[in-house]
Amino acid sequence: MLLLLFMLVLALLPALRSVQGLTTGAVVDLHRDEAFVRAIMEGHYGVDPTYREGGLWYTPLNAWIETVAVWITGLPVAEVIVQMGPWFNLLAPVSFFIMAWYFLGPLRAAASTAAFLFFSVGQEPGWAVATYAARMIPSSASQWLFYLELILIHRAVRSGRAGPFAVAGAGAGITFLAHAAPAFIAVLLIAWATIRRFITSWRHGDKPAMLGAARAGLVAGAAFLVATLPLTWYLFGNGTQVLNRAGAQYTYYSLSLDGARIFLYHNLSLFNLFGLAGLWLIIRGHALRELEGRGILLAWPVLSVALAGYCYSVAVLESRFGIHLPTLVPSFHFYLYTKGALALFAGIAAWELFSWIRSRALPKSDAPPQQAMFSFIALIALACTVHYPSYATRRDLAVVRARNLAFKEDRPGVEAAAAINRLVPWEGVVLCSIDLSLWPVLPSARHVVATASTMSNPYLDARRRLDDNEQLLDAMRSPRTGTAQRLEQYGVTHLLVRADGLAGMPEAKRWFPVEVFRNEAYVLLARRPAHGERPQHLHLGIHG
Amino acid sequence: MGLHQALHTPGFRWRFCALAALLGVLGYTAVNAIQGPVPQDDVAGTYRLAPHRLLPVDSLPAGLQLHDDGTLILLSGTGDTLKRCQWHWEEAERLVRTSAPDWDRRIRIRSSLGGHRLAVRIASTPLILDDNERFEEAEYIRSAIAPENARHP
Repeated sequence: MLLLLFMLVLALLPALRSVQGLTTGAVVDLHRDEAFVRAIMEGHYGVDPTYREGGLWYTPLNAWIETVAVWITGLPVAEVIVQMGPWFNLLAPVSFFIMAWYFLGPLRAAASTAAFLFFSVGQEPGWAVATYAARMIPSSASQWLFYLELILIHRAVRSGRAGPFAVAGAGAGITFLAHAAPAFIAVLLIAWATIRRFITSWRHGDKPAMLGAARAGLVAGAAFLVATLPLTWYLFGNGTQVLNRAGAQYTYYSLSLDGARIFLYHNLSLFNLFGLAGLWLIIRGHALRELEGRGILLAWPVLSVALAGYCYSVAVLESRFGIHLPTLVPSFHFYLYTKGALALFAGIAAWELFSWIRSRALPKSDAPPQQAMFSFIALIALACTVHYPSYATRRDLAVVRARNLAFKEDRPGVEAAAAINRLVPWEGVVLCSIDLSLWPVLPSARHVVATASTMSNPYLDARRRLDDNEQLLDAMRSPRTGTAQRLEQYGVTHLLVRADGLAGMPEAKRWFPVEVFRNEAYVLLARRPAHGERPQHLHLGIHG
Repeated sequence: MGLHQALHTPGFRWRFCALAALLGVLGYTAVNAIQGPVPQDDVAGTYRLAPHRLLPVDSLPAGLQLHDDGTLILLSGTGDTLKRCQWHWEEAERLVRTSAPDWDRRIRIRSSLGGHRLAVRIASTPLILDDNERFEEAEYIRSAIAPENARHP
């Protein structure tokens, strides 16, 4: 525990420094989450803050937690999201440590957690790797549930009773509310365990055991469905046919064939060598003889690699050959969990290496075993300290902070986001270019005609919206037929343009005659004044 | 021997206290190693691109000169000037700020076991637009030649 505290403090300090003084994050994922938080705060849970016709489509647990944090602190949403990351994400190493201790005992758990915290990330983005990250990006912020879920699955498998399976199924459901990727792995682990037990019972002709396995599987499935209702209720209510596959096909650049060299740059590492050595030790039964635990720890990376391969294949087959297979989530999410398994295994290898060296160096030592324990802990702490300068100034903190600082200087954007939220009613729809739909509109939680397909509702047709958005923007440059119908179809109430782009849109004032906001970078125009406002020909600009 | 037994063996307390003290010293050392200021004078100098096998560094200049007078010169492999702009050191962030927008916040000092290293972000996409966060960095090695003595192209 002392070592865990030591490691957590070391990890927390540079993470806190990386968000010091920041009031908003630069990354689009945080802006999307901000939109969902604002939607909840304005009483619109269950709907898509970006598309007026859309329902809830993104896993909501993070937004709930952030909403509660906003409610408790009373701070602005964007600031809460950016500042709570280092604190909230401590749950990941803590739950990883608990899980590692549960399966492997305290010493290996300490080494595995050191690998998870300090050695897995290297110079990779924190959102792609199982590690402690400073940002509340859902892929990072949802890990903790998966590590605890592994314990629940193991307890269910070991007992074979329906009760623990119900708990594991509910745990997988709650994990699903945080992120789909770890939930897929958890569900497959439960299914694998149930099917294996069913087949074993069938081979032995043990009917009661077969029925028990079937019952346990059904109970777990039912508990999963019930736990996911806060999301699936809205998904099933709005149609679950995926019409926009772009989001799921996003590929982390180092996980593509084109990025193979960068993949090698990040992965030819001592961390992976230790991880693979640990995997080999588990396969050989050195580290963990208990069958169920070993099965789960081996199935975890196998499923992660298989799912990553499948998701990447889906993206490649569709983009290169036009073949459509069912999509899940971007492949890098499963790469993240592969790295998590390697971190666990690296701890095993570290302990075995230490034990081997110790047995060679002190073959007839009569020193008490606690001396070995203290020596091992001291060595882990030393390794963390030696590596610390590189870890604390890694790109995931320093370059991300540089980006956040550059973003913070975009004062007109921050001002515009606040103005859009204030001046456009919830049921309003903003027409704007795709880049403006991501910033400053997205965090304002106001609807648009179209946004980037990777960030938009998978259950609505993105391509048609993008075409219509383009045609409507063209209609602001020169007269186009059908403009009025399109504006009505999408319920467009406002137009957002860059201040220097308005001159190139002579038609804009015809369709959107009321200027409601202007600063040096953006102009927001409305089709008609809001209730109680002055006639439309009056200039209503806030900043002139 | 299980953990429970180990906790109750003689000598545990003093070993535990020794370990706590060791962790305290190591923690202090680790935090101290990254917190010291890096003044502008320490950053100014002549640098050459370190060899990289796997990173795509072809687009980067072969050399950098950070002059004391605030001039930044980017050099090609043949020593020709690729770009010249003004720079200043943002000590709190350990970042090089430049008058050229495409090089602003692209050069920084990062720490490692071997000391401070000059790192340059390879992707030229402006930070604020890089949603994929292609933030791989190439290291530059400080040359013994002071920039004022280096050939001023």
